[in-house]
Amino acid sequence: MLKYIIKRALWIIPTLLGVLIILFSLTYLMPGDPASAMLGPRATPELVAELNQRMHLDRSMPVRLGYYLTGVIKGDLGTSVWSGHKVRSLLAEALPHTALLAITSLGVAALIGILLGAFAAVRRDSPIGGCVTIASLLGVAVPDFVAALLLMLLFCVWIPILPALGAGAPGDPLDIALHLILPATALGIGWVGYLARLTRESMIDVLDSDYIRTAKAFAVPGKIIAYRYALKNAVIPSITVIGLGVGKLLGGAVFVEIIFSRPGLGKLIVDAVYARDFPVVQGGILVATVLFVLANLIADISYAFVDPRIQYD
Amino acid sequence: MNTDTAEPIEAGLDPSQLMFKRKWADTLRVTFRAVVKVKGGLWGGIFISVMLICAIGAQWISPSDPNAQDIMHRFAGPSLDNFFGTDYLGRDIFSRIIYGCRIAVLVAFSTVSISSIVGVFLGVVSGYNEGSKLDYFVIWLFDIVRSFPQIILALAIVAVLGPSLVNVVVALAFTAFPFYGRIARAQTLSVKEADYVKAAEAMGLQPIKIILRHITPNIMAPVIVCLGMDMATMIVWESGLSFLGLGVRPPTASWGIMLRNGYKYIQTSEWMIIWPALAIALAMIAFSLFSEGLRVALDPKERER
Amino acid sequence: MKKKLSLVALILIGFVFCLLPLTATAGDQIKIATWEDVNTFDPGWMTSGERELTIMSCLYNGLVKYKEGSWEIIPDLAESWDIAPDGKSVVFHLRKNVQFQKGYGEMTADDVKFSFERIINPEGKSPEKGTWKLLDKMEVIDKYTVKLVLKDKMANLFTSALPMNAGYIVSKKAVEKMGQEVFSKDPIGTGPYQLASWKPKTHVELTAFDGYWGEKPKIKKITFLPIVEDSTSETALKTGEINIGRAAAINVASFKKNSKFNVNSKPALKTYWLGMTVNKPPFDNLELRQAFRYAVNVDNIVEAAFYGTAERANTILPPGLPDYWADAPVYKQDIDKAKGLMTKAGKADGFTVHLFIPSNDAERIMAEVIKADAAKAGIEVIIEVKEIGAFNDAANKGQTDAYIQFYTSTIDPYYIMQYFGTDSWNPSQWHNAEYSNLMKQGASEVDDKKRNQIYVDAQKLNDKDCWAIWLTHGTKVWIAQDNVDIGAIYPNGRLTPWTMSFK
Repeated sequence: MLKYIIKRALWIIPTLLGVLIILFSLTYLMPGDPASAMLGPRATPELVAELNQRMHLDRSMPVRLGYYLTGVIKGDLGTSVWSGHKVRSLLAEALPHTALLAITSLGVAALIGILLGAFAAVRRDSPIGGCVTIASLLGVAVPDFVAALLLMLLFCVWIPILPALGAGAPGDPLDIALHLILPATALGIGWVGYLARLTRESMIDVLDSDYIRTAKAFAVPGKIIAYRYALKNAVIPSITVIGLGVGKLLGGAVFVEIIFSRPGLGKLIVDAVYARDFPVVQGGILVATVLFVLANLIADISYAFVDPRIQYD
Repeated sequence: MNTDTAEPIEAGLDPSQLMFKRKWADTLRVTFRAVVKVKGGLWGGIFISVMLICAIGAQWISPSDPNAQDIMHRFAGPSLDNFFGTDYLGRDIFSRIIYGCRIAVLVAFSTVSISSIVGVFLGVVSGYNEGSKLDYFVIWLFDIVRSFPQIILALAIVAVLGPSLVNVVVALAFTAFPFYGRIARAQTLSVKEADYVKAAEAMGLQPIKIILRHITPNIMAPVIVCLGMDMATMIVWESGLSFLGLGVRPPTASWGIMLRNGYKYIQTSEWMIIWPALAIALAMIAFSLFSEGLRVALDPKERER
Repeated sequence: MKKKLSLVALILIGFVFCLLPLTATAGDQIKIATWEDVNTFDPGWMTSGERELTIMSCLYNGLVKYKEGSWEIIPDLAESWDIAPDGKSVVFHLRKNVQFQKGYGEMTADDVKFSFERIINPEGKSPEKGTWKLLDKMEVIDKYTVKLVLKDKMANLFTSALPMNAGYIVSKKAVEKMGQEVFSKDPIGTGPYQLASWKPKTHVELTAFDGYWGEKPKIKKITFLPIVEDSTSETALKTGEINIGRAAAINVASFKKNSKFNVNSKPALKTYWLGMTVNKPPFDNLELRQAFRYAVNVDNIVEAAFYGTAERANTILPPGLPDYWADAPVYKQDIDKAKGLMTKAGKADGFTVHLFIPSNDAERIMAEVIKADAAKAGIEVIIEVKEIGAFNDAANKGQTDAYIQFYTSTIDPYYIMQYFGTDSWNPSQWHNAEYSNLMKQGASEVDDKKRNQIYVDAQKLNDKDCWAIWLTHGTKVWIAQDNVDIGAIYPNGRLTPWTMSFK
């Protein structure tokens, strides 16, 4: 077991190396230069050259790659071409917002979804089961950015009662919560249905299994059976799904943040792509990738812990 | 995975036919079963067929030219002339939705084909040569690409290549191929120990023929199930990329571009958002139901329920 | 269990709805939607007037300024000045006891000298050094007196050089202490507001400067939010998240009808034009350029793109500028004339034009209308939409056949006319020695009548050589919530946040 964990963890290093190479190549190959974008129509070749020089963009690729890698090792991810702020600090400001969004949407979705699924599994003959299946289908059917647009249409345009912009005044938890409602719902909608169905199915599996039947035979009260034994085991697939879901969340966060103009990692990356702000693009994608890799690692390892029935090479 | 007998993964196949089966006939048979036997799959299949018809026959089905502008009648609501209304340049939304089917279908089929073919090929080859340098290299490649959150990688690639339909397909296929690769490889690892494969090897059949004729057909089941859902996901992602301006180029009518324009005019006309949103949602539902049907049709355990 | 859950849900929903009124912005703060985020707060290194000038005018003062709401020049940091008889130098008498923000001490002649000379210093590579190319040096006479020495007479010294960002005074102590890079993020000026925080692409927060030498602003905190999409600004106005914003031209009418908002519109000082690249076919032929001018329908173009909120333009300068050519010819669509010219040029069957545009809505609509109209004369227009970086690149290199471009003037016609016809920014690749000459003369001509004639002649040359078809000057529309007094607005639509207040 330990061997597996160590092997699995060490494998990250060559993987991340490959990631860095691909990432740097991508940003290096991106056409356009930030100087033209910043100067607008006045961007004569002379002014562009001067701006490029001031931003150190005129050196060759291997030199820049060298500077970049040494910087990364020291923890310096470069400086934003657009604003002159350090990429590290931009990321530090953006990440908490995305994390808050992700945790809120996933947390609420998980809570609602797992409970709904458990409920549907226990009362499997009632129409709730069918409703859950339909709801889950609908939830999956509407991708996060479409849901975000529709929610914005509903609650910001037709009935303008919820904010459409930003993350709320810092230090004001009510305002922050208000600004979270629509984005988190948009991101979480797909998850509620999915998790509900997943929980329902695994719970049905487990409820039918032998050891539950035995417990029932021994007259352990039904509710206890459901909520202690079955649920615990049925949560297992949800854990792993959530682990992999970090990638989907990051992807969804990109759109939700752009649509609701929320500061966050996704908006940071896309804005940087538009402005050709390469250091920020690189830093942002790097952080997103590292987070994803770590999440997968944790998911894999915790799966190994939680379900001893799985065998490993 | 049952590896000690030669039990085929795809149900409904006669063991004696193992050595000579053709890939496509079985795939078709399974698909047919999925569509017919599972009600959801039937509805899904019907909608997908409608989409295919719209995609192929867009010129004949759509009432107007999707790019024909009528600046004087912008932002019109639904009417007899324009079933879904007009957009910010006066173009007929209904026609654009129909042509959008074409883009959706094109993107779905081409990205999934490319990524599955490349992925499966790499996966089978590497799985068959388990433990070799080639195997490790391919796994490394898969893991690197899989480390990126897919949409972020796709948008970076399109930013490099420039927005266009071809580049969107390339970018999406690139982010997706490792998934097929991993499934294929995992399946190959077990299938290659099967009796019929050992027999073929003993008979001196070349590895490439073994791979093509014996291994690949037998690993396709989970791949096929993936294909269905993947197509839906690709449609959604093309829409997303186009929404960001990093997808298909305007004035091409893609549902994603329509959503982008709708967002820009969200205060002026809700119709520009509602119709493409509905189209995407229905397409996703259809593909979900269909691939559910496929999964049920392919899984012998499920069929007992 | 079910009942309890639904009760809890109901309570939560009720709670949320009670909180909703709190989303409206609180009293002492005004939030303004701008187009894009800023790049820098260093006035000598400003990259784009649209982005940065409003904010810079809150942070800094110059020797003189435009009186709020007009182009009249009034004293700012300089109480008075004496212009030498030969016009080549000016002595400024500075105000005493003007404090810099954040404790950087008193503003003196040293700061003035430093502010100007850092721009003309070639090592600094300031994009504004062109503005001061006639500046020789600054001489400190005493603590509150400084002499500005020119190489030659400068016509726009007081009209557009001193009152704008290139004439703003920065704190020498601050720049030398922090270094220029840090200073560009942490500005120190003498203006009514100081920078509280800048989160790139998210917001710029200014707070009122307690030690300001002039009349203190009524609003203590101003937040600028970069909002790229008009629809987002409209939504934010309606949900109360911002106090002042803009709207898409087509929705302006509905805001006018809404009693919760006040709409302020001013004709912008922009100029949109349809330019043609004159050093290669097809538009190296004057007759084909003229044909194009007759083929397009400018009224249609402007109506379509601006929904009746803007007027057509007939020359490069907007009306209201002193040297505006009021008698410029108005070209109406005339397909027959167009075809006649084409036949004379040997292209009776038509020709193809690659029209490059940036990916903005207004340009897109204009391009589509142009395409439809030009087709009537047999001219095939192929629209190439490029994102802004690629567009500027192609236009500047002369790779287009035609392009749609816009630029914003200032009060001084030289500001926009100095390009074109010369070797600096010249997307049409148009070279005309007579025009360059006129520009040089205009730059140093201080007599109003003579200067007027020079610029009118220059505009006539534009018309004769027909390197551009003028489209419109646009409109600047600001929408404010009803309880906001938006203060003075300059004739080109620029806001003056320090004059804002709540009613």
